[in-house]
Amino acid sequence: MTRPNEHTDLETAVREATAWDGEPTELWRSALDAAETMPDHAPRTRRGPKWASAVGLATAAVLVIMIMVVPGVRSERELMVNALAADLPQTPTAVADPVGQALDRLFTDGVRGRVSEDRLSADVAGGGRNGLGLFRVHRDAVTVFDTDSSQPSPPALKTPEIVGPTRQIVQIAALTIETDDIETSYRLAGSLVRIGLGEYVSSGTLRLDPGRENGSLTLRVVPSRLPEVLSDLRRLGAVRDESLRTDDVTDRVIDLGARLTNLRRTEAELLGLLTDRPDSSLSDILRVNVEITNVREQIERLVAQRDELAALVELAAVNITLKQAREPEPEPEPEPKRTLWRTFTQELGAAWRGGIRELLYNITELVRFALGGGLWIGAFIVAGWAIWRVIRSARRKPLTEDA
Amino acid sequence: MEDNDADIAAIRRFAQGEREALGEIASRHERAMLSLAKGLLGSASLAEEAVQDAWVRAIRGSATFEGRAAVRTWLYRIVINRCRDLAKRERRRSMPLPFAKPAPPPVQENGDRHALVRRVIASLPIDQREAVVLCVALGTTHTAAAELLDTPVGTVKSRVRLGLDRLRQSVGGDT
Repeated sequence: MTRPNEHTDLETAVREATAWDGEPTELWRSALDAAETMPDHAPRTRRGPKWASAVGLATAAVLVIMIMVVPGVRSERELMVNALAADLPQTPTAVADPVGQALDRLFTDGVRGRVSEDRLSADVAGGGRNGLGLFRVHRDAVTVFDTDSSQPSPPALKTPEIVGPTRQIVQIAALTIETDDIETSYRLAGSLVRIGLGEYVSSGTLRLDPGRENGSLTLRVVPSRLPEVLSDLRRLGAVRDESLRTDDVTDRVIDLGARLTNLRRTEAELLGLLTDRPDSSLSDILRVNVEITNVREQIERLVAQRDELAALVELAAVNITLKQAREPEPEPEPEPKRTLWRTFTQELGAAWRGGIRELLYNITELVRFALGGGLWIGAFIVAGWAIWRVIRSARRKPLTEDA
Repeated sequence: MEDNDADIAAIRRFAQGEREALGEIASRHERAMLSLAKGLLGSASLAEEAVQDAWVRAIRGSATFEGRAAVRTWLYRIVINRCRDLAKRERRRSMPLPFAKPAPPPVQENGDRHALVRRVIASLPIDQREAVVLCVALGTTHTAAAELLDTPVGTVKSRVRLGLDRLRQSVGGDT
């Protein structure tokens, strides 16, 4: 006996409260009758409480909804999109198609608007040497992202077509190109003119001072070759700026011609006066000569203007500015003399900054986890609680009745 | 020990078809079985239902009874199992409202201390209730209760002590 024999009042009260004080029941007789009439093995079904099933179903539904909706999935799609943009080829020969395909895939996946302009701009601009073509695609992409994807994208920026000879058009293009080797690019740009066609380099400046390398050229090329020359120039480096200005000078040419005709007619009339009236006074003759001189001056000025216009129309101008692609490495500052105290303070400062940075990082991560994972944590707690309740109720095995 | 031998002999006779042999066993144990069920379930009617079902199971298991455990232990286990099933059934039937606090035991009325004790026992966790009823109400030793409940002796002692402490707090009484 491991239990003390003496009983307290409380134990006596428990014994009396639970004692069977009813009439003799002889339940064994009714059980005997029941055992003879009932089937030997009544089916037993062990089922968990209904609320457990309901909680389990609700939790599963919440989890499914969260998987479908939560921002984590969206961020994965954004990552995919970013990867597409980042995978753009860097070679200038294959610009348009990969970018177009990437944009098509973006639109097909229905992730319009989830790629920020800045991100796409940065990634596409990262293509570097892709020049105007890449810039054109970037502008289209931004425009399309701002509007509905079902609407067609606006037409791409095109180089203006060269107009026919009936119009007098002056074309002036300007490019700013960043290149690693300014001298080579300078000479390559100058070699693009074809002297046989009358093309030439109208001006050129090359500066090779260390740290301030730059160059500039002005090419005069046949208007029909302007697109070809621009295309060749873009391959020299990364185009940072490009513009093309056209000016229709047809009216000015016509006006100059008319004014020239009039002045020449005036000149002829003045000359006729001199020859038709040889007996005129000296003062009259001198006055006519002065007038003739003035008219001829005007004629020469107009002719010069006409020739200048004709030259501008005959050959397009291409202004090229060459810049160093990378800033030269700054001169390293002389290493300060390392003393024991300086080393100590530097290491201490670095450790302090590193600790603060890690602390802020951890706090940020905790806040992100608390905000982003709150729903998940709640769902898992509810699910775990429900599972624990079911397991606990199922864990209580009945006492073995084998004897 | 002599009672157990007599019980085993009666079981053998019952298995051979002598119906009255079961009455002989019942005369020794049915009252204790009813007390055990009443203590665990807190209701006389439920206790009768539990004991009757326990007898049905015992009748069906009598043919395979081998005598490895005492007949009383065997019957008590059947009763406890049946009481657990019935308690679970009753709990589902009278499911409390969600988040509703359990009603405290009513104040002692007309000196009916037994009714209060029964209510407090019924409010004990099932593990403590089984230990208290077996060891205190039925006078089973801790060792026997541990064997019966398939639990270490120390655990049984601990449950009894916790149950009595709670009873003492609710009902009062000497230690």
